[in-house]
Amino acid sequence: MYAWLWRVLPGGTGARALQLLAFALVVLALLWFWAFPWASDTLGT
Amino acid sequence: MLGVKLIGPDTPFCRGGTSVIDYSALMRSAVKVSTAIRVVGEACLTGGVIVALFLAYLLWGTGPRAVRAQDHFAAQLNHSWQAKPPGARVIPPAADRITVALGQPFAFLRIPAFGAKWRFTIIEGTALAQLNVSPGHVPGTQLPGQAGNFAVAGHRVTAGNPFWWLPGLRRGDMVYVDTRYDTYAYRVTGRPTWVAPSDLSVLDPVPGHPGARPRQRLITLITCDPAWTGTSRVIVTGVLVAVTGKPGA
Repeated sequence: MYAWLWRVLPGGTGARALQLLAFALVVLALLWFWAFPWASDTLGT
Repeated sequence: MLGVKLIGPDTPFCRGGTSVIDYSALMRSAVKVSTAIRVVGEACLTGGVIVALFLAYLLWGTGPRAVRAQDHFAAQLNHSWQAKPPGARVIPPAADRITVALGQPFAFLRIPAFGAKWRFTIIEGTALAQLNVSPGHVPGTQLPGQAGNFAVAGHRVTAGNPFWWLPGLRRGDMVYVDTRYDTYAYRVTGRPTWVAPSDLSVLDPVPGHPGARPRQRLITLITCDPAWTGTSRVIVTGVLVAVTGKPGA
């Protein structure tokens, strides 16, 4: 999964690392501000 | 070596006296298995990271969310209390003038034993969506000042840990409820008690006596114990000892 992601990203190593970092930040923001509040309101934590 | 067929009497796969091993097929199968194992492993690692992040959110993310919600509710209450109440020819007792709507604030809760600045709003409802942003009034129980039982539930941990110190309340500690019209002062009547989550008798107008006609005006504060679990509920009960009207209310 991650190897595939690394392969399909364009650019050199640095560009790929930056893209992966940006992707990870977007995923983290979605989790923190949307998925986790929904889960804590729904799952009985 | 790929695609080479080895033939010999001591090779493991025999067919009519000869043995054949298709190494390319074996390699394809091995690649499929290793890919599957890698994908499953990465999925497990990803899931573990997400669970760890969720725990971090519960620890550190719910507090700021509750603070924002409290600021919003407090501003909403202060704004609505400044507006003129709807006119009426006969003004009913103040407690009966309180209106509630699910998820909406209608009072402030202050417990000086928790700190001079400790104050949370009380909103209507005790579903997770409400408790995650504020202590909530248990629907169906009485309102502040009414004869019977005004029950308020709150999270022990997360959402700003509003009732973290609840098990520490003792007889004589004061609990104040500020509504649009009055401030209700309740005095805690005894040490906290622990009940099962299924024990709803603590919510009766006369706790433990369903159907009994209430003579006292009680407040019941409820939270979870031990922290992070729903094993038990901590119950603190107080009785109304004073009502202070607000000027112009």
